[in-house]
Amino acid sequence: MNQPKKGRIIGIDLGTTNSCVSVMEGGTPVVIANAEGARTTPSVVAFKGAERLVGVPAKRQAVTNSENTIFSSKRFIGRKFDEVTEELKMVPYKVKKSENGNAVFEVNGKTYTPEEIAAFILIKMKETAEAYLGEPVTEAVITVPAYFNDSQRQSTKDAGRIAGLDVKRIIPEPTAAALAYGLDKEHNDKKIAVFDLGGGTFDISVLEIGDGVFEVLATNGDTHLGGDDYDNAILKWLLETFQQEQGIDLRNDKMALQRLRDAAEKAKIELSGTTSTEINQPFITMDASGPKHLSITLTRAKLEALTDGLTDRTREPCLKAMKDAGVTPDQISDILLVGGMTRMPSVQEMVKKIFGKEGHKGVNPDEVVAIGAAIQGGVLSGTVKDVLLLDVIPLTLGIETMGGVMTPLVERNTTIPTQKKQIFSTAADNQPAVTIRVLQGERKMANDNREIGRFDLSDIPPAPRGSPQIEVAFDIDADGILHVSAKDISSGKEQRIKIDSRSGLDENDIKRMMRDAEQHAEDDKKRKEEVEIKNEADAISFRASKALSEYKDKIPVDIASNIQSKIDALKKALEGNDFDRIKSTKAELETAMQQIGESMSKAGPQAAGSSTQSQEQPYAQAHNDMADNPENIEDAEVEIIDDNKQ
Amino acid sequence: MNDNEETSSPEADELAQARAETAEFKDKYFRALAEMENARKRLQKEKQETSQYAIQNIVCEFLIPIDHFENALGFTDNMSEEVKHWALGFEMILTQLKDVLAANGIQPIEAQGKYFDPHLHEAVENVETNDIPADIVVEVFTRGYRMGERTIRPARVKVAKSIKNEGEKI
Repeated sequence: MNQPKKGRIIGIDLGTTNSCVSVMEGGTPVVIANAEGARTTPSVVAFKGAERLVGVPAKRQAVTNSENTIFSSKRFIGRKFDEVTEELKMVPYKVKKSENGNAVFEVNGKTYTPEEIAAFILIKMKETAEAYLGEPVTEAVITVPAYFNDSQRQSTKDAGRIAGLDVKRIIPEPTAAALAYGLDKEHNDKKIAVFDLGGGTFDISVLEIGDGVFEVLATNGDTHLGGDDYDNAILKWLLETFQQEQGIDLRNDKMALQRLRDAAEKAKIELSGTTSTEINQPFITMDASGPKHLSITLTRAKLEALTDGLTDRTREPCLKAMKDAGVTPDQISDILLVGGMTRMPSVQEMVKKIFGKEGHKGVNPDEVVAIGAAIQGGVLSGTVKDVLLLDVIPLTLGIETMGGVMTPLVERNTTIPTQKKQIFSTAADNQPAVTIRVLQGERKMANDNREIGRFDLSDIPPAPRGSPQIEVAFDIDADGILHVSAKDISSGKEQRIKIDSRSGLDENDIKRMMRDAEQHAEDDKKRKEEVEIKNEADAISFRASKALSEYKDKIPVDIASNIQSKIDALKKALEGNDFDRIKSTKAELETAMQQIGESMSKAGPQAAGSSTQSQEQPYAQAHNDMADNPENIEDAEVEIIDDNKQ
Repeated sequence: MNDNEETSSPEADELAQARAETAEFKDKYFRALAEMENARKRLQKEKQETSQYAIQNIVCEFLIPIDHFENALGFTDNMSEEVKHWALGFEMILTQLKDVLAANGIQPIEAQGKYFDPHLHEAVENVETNDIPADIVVEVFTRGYRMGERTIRPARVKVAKSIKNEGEKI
């Protein structure tokens, strides 16, 4: 079963306008930046004399070498010349009919097939991956649009072979998106929609998923709708507005046009995050009266009005695709958003209008397809299966400590198997037992979390509060089983339980608990702080009482009675919930306590200061942030729960 | 030793299975270790690159107002002496800004009169002419910048193109 391991299988999203490459690394897909530092590469190939350019450099020289610069070659791959007559009108390069009737490109008198052009892009992606991984790459998963027919898929595969890649699988782009969102792990059959609005094309696909099997039920789209159309709409408006205000037409000023085109795209991106943006282009041009500046405010509402017609063009294809798939919007459980344009709020709004629910947008829409391809590559090479063994715990695990606080031991998202140990102590003198309440959740107070287990460690030898050392260990094995043990270090007495930390929780419970924690974060923080104040105050009054009784003979009577009155005041304050009063009485007691040290150092050098010091430690450290390091053993206190109170 | 005999008994099967499993787990363990080590190294490298890119991104944003500044000063050539005098002072401020860039290894890209190079230049416009050799940059719209060997922003340029004679068109 242990086959000799081969190299990694990379995932390539071979797009119409941009391509992207990703690879599984340590169980997670990583998108790889190219030599120019960009995570996506323009799908452009240019020929300049003997030189071949791919990606950004090819795009940069397109204007000056348009007939030898091939972009959108994906629109021609695997197609007959007679099928692409519409596309021909939109490109400045030469496309002709090959002997077998296919569409091929003619550059500098040489013929290139769309497969060869795609291969040049694939080689660039392969080199990008090799530079990153530091090892040769020979295998890949490549994505294609769901509507690609056999001939187009075969041609894409051929392109891979020309590029020196063994194409392990060709997968549809919407399937890749679903993989990136982890939808292959769903066991129940469900129907999803993938809404892909990219740089130049719009695709909508309806898929059926069940037990890791994907079936494309229907696809539709608009082959000429994308981000560039939105940029152009803004550009047109800028030019018109400027002409109205200044009476100057900038359409023939290439430099101004270029500046405005950049500004339009920047404004479009900004308006996904803000509701208004300032487009400032000082000294955009000059006339007889002097320099002219362009300063226009573009609001999100205006942008939406400008591009309304474009966004609306996505509606029909979606409705048709659902009709062809024989589904209604309410039967579609998830909508995945793919392509940079789906970041635009009005596009997301349109999705909601069409399908009646929000689209998923957790994964970068520019990279989601490549990520899905990488995951498929990982599955094929076996690495993903191996990695799935390494699960994470979905919610924080901890125990209840003094004052009803949840003290986390293992933070959520920790990869298992894992082990954490921490030392706790008692909260009262001669405390015979501690109750370990094992909690799960993100809330600060114990009772707001889920109790998943509880046990007592009894027969703790009588000892002053804070001095017994009780080691609590959480050990979660690879199957998610949590072993909790509590051990009194001095007596060696130990108790343990075993809990399936994942039982009884489904994804929704986890999400709800996370949401609760977020919503209550402020309240919880305040309550925890209040408990901490009370705990500190309680500790100080305890320490003061103890010092009084221990050094009765050495403390002058007036000081002792003063301290006693302060202790009483603090204890009284502690009965209520007036935290300002607790704080002030606590401060008073602390000041009074200093008199003990002073009077005793006058009385004799072997003062009791050290005693107070050592007592202080467990309390002080109990409030330290719990470090991740399992060896970093800290003191804190376990709350005792009185049996008769329960 | 007596491998042949062992294969027949159930204990031997179990043993063989256990050995295979051990070998498999050992393999996986070493792979996991190696993967972690490699990931750590890559992380280190990425960290370095990230900080470099971070600087680059900020610099790129600062380049835009610097362009506009430069552009604005370009308009003062035909202005009055008073304006020119002011402009001189602003010119000095611009120089200071550029000095800051230079001190951080960011150099302007030479473009005017050079052969067009798509690694350094971006063509915005062509001009058909037979007076200047083809592919020569005839005008720079916005200055490009490089940081070491990396082009952080290409120069935006107008490029000469030879006028096609009729014979070439088919």
